[in-house]
Amino acid sequence: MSRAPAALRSESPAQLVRASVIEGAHSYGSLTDRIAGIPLSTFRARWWLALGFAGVLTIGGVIAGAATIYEGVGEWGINQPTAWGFAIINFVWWIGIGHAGTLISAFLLLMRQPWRNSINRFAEAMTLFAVMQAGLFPLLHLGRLWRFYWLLPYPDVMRVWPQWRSPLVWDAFAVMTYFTVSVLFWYLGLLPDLASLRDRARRPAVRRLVHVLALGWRGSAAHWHRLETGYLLLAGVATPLVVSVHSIVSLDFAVSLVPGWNATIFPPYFVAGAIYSGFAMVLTLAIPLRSAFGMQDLITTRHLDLMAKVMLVSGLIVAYGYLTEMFTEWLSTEPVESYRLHARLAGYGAWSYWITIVCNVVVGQALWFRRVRTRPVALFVVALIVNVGMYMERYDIIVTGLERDYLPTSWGVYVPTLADWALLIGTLGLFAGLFLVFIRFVPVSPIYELKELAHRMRRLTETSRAPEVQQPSASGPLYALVAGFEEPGPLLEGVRRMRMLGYTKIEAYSPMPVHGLHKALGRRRSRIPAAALAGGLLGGTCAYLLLYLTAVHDYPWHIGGKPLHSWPSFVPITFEMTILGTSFGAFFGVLRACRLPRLSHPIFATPGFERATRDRFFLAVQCDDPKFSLEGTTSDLSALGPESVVQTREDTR
Amino acid sequence: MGSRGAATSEKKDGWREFAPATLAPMSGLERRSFLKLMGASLALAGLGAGGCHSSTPEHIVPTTRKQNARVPGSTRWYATSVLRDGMALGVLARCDDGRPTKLEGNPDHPASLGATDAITQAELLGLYDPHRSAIVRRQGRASSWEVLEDFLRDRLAALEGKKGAGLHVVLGPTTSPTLKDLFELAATRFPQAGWHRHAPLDDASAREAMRRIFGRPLSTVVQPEMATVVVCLDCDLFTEGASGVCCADRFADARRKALSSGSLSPWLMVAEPSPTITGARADDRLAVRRTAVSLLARELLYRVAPGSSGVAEVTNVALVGEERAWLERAAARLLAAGSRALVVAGRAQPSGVHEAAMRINAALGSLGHTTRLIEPPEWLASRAVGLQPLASAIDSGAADTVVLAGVNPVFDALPELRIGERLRKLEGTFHFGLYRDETAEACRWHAPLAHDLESWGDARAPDGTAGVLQPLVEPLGNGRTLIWLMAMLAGLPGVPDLDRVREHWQRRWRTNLESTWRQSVGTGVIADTAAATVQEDPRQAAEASAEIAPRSGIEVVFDPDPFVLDGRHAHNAWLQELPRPLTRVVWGNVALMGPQLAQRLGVETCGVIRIEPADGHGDGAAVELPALVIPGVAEETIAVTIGHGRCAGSPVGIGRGVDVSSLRRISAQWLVGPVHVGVTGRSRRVVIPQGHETMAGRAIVREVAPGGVLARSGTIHLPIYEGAHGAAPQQWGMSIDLASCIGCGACVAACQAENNIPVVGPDQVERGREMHWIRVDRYFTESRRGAADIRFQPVPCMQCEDAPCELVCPTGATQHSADGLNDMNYARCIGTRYCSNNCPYKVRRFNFYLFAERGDEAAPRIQQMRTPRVTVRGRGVMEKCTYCVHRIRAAEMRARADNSMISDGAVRTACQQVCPTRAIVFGDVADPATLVSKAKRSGRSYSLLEELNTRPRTTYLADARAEPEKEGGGV
Repeated sequence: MSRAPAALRSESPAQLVRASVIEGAHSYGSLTDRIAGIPLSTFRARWWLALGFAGVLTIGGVIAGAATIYEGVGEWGINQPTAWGFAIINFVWWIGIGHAGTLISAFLLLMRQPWRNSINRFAEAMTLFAVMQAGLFPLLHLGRLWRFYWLLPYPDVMRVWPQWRSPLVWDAFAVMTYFTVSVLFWYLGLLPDLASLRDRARRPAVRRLVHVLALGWRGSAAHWHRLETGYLLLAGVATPLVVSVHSIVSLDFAVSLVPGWNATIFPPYFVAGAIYSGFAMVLTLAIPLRSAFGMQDLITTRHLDLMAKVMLVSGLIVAYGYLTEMFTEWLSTEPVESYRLHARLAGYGAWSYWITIVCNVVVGQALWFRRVRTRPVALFVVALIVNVGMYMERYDIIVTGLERDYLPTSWGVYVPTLADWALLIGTLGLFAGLFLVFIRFVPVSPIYELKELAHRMRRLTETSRAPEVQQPSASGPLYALVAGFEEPGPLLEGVRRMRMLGYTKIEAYSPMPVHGLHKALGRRRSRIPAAALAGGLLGGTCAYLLLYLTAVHDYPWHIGGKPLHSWPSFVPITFEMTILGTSFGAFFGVLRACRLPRLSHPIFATPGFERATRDRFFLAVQCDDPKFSLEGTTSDLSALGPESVVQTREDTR
Repeated sequence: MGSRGAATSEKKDGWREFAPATLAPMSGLERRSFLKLMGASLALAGLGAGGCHSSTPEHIVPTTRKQNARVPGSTRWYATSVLRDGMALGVLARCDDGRPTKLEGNPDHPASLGATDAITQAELLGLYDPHRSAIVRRQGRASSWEVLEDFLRDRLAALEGKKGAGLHVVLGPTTSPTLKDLFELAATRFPQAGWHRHAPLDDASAREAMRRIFGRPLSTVVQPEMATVVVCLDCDLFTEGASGVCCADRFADARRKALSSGSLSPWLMVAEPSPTITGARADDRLAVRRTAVSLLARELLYRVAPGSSGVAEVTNVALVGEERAWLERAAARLLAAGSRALVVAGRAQPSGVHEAAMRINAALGSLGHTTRLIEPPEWLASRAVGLQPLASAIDSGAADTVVLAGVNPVFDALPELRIGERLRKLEGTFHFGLYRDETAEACRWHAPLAHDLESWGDARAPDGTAGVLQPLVEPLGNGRTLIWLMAMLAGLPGVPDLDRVREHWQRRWRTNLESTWRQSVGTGVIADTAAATVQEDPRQAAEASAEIAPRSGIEVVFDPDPFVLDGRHAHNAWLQELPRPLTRVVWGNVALMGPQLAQRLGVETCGVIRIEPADGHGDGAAVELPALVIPGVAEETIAVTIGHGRCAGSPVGIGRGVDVSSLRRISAQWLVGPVHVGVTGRSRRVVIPQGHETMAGRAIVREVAPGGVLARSGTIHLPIYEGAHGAAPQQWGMSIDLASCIGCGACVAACQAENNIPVVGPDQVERGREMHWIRVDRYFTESRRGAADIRFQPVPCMQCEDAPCELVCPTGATQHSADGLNDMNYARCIGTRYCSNNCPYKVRRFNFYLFAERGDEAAPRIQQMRTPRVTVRGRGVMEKCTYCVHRIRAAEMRARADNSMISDGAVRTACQQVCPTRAIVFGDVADPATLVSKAKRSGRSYSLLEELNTRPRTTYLADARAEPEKEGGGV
């Protein structure tokens, strides 16, 4: 785990620029138009075809799911002793895949890795969709689906509470927290791009929808500052969250007595496996995506190379996990454990074990070779094989572990049924379908971050012309005088100059965060971190109190010989609730500090302001500034050498 | 087989409940369709019966006042008996609100001694079976009792003129004294009539042997508890006949007593062709060809009583290696035991073996000690002939009226007799039976017979003790009894059965005191009716025939199925789904063979083999069935069970397994050989719920030498947390003695009956979804002599104190009670199944579907059978054994009312109560004086998977087996 960032950090920023994570010539406008253009363009037949195919797969899964709900989980291949089968394998597999997105986004953000920017948006979307698939299975697998909410605490009149020592309850909390935090993180990063879409969209319905979804994002210096603060905070909590979620998933197994499950290596080994399979799935999606939309200059072979390296490292950790498992099984000399060892190597279920080893360990070693890492087709094949291998790993753990447990008379055979296969394939279809919908409706990469990156990488060689939109000027009272610039530098300089001239009510609007702007405007640091801290403390304290009071006082029961106050069992949920509280604090702190949502704002009436989300940097002086005078301020602004100076009048229509 | 197949398809009238295509083969969602069929059948049956009742709705008004002596919701017990081949097995029936819901053994009854076997437990389902025949039918069309009565009365009146010539009556074995009286009257009325007795599991060769030795067919009562050595010659002592339960009980009791002083007595020696539960329990078992048993018997007789005339030493060539060694050991032990020896022979052996066994007993002086001679309680055998004369009578045209009652010879008589074909030729055929079975379809008339638990009657136990049968419910299927039928034949006016039985006994007692009657009915046993021991000396033996059976080729041995017997219980789903003790097979039969033969034939388990008799009866006689390879089968022997492949009666039994009767001959009912065996190359499923045959090197069933103590692993119990739970004063626990358990499966059936456990059908069992809360694991272990030893281990929920299942349940649906039970709260279960995964004993069962079919149309009658205090579990819910917690709670309430503690033995779990060998002891482990506490203090006590530190409340007493070096020595 800790090796991966070290490997990445070894490259200095200078090297990064040389090796340039994005290629080609861009401008602010071209980047905006290209990426925002994908959702706004018309739908191509190829897309419909793909969506139709995904739909067919999904319908199969829906039918199998309906049959399961109607008849019972007897429709599946599960039995005694193999009471868990494909459903739980699917759950663990999907949730593992769902780890890469947040990890790429959050962890690499913390590590200041610029190469995250091209891929983080769709990787996060992949996370959300994968977690959605994963979340289906714990529900479907319940014998009595309609009672799923008994896993959650709610004020039941019978004063009945969940049994907090069960890893399944931890799991429910972990997965729901993970999904919620991932959505918040994703949405927060999406706000500026939604604003870009809003300002590009032609169809009124789309524009209105995106307008609402963008919450009135204006791209002011204050907005950018708060967004960045909140985003970093969310990244800070999402990273331990990722680690905790798959650790808790692994505890579903590690807490039990089942031979082959009860291993202490499970949490780190599962997390590494999740990263491994998650990155494999990102590659599986990224490689076709970049060719389909001609994004080779943004998702470069450099990206592929770096992701492959992460896979290599996490794959080696997984291999270490396999070795450790073998070693402890051998060391224990217990008949049950050594049976498991022999069965895996050359006995019952050896096939699944060796498929796992070949796919995950042997094939994974191909990533040592630069030629494999930089060749998209080869990498795609390796990623696919790893996806299969990680599925087989879970099969080997869950199914073969259960099939051969303590008493030989109970040994059984698990054979997946048609319904099992249909559900697995159905979720693949649903996942693909959701992803297809995503790429047609949401910018696949964060536009503003790419602009910032291109700016930093000096990749802005091309100048672009934006289509001039003739907007009827509003006739209301004057709101502000607005100067437009083409580059962030003059804007920053302009802000400083105007402040020196004594203007106080000024605001800067930019299509990307401009560093130093917030400071130049003389604003205070935001209180978002304090809100996040408060949220975290509140979440954690409430959670522990809930667990303690319900387990010890309200619903005290003798469970497995454990004391009522089994504090180690209370740690996972307390941790998850702390993270959830922190995330809520950060997310709503950002919205509160930005005074969002605010769908209408006088500045939107500025002629040409739609370019504020594309390629124009604006400096606005409000007319209620004590130093404001129409002539004086106009000349002050003109002195900054802007492209234009316009009057903003409030739209009274 | 062929003729019966034709019989099924011939019927095309509208009154068949189901088209044959619906019945078999069932595929897909078989369990559901089959349970729905059960329901549909009930609906139709109700329709048919509805004709007899008033169709205008009548309103009854419930009283709000308590009825005298009747407390709603209270439980009442009634003594009665169920019959096995006419013999009574006394039971106490528990009735809840007027519905029998459980049968327990009657401690006062000599055939029960308080326990029962699995078949008796399943009689309850037989009683409520919605597929039982419920309407009188004439040529398949619905008729009524009135019509039948008139018709039969006229027909009998006409026959009376001919002194009954042309009338033939076929009955099963019976011991009923009342019936005997009526029979005498009928026989007087029809002196020319033919009386036939049909008993597929007849002990004819034993009767023949007794006739040769004593001049008349005396019966024997074996008393293994008196013996120090028991030698079974192809005899399954613990299941054969109606005395199995009491034999097992007395044997186990004697062994326990001997074991407490460190010895294994009675020493059990068994020679048998395929393993039985008696063989599995044996201290010295020999797998031997069935044909070779007569050699063993004769040689044994020669060794024990060399002076007996007509016995010559068998040449050494005839007995090979292991057989000779076993023989030497048996002879030595028998001679050492003297009058405390017991030799018994099985039903399948010819009369010569029975004779030899009885002569050994006589020569050793054990007659009167280990075996008693009595006048046979079964009286029909001496008054009736078999079916062969019936066949000739039909062929010669002498028979015109055939009445068959309680028998199904079309299915279970040997096919050579072609009974079905012959009955079809006649006009006047009347069948009375529980089911509309193969014989019913071959007869013009069919009328439902009442179940034993619906009838007044009387019957004798194997030792002659008589008891009264009392009905627990009005006949559910509108059936009538054999007493009614026999009175009809005798031309007596219609009188309730009760009056006939009471009148019979009051005449005997020469008193009509109500108290005597009430006493007899109430206890289920009529005092002083046990048969007296007959003192009789054996006659000089005639010259023994010199025939030595050929020892060549593969021989096929037939045995009744352990549970469905000759097929009579094939429609009982509990029995069909109860794993056969040795093979663990459910819902069908297999060709059992040893690994060597299987290897030679090139067949594996599930591979279909084709067996053809070598005497060339053509294709019709060939039988194809799947093989099952297990150790312990004699060389060159294929063992098959009869009673399968039913083709009429109820969809539960139809088409389950293969009917092998076409291989059997009148001359060789239980053995045919040599046969041709072909391997078809196809395979067919063999449904076995057990996963693996051996213990895989793990210490699961542990054993000690007699008097030995288990090596202690030194139980590690390091509590990480201090306990903080209040504990109740009484703590429940169980101890299962593996040295007593014979693996008969009665506990499984009892648990199923007590805890409303559903049947899931073969498809679901095959998929690993059986629901039994207690299972009996069978292991093959490497024997000290190279053959395989067989071990049984009943596994209910262990009620772990540190239960792994409780810890992982997210909703707290499984929790620990203050008195130490691992409870299941079904209402709270959402079905994550994690508890099952985490249970190292795998004793939890999940309702993958709505197995109980609650609310379904099948439910009404089956619901009445259910124990009212046990929740019926719905779909998606985990269930498991909770030590019959409803019994504990009921006892608790009684104790609380008396302001006392529950006394030891006041609560018995269903498995404990039924156990014929009393291997299961249950009680308060907090009280050191209880039986269970004493058992747990034994040096043989151990916990299963102790190393997991789950601290099970259910522990085992290690099996006690002889150490190899001590074998072969003196007693």
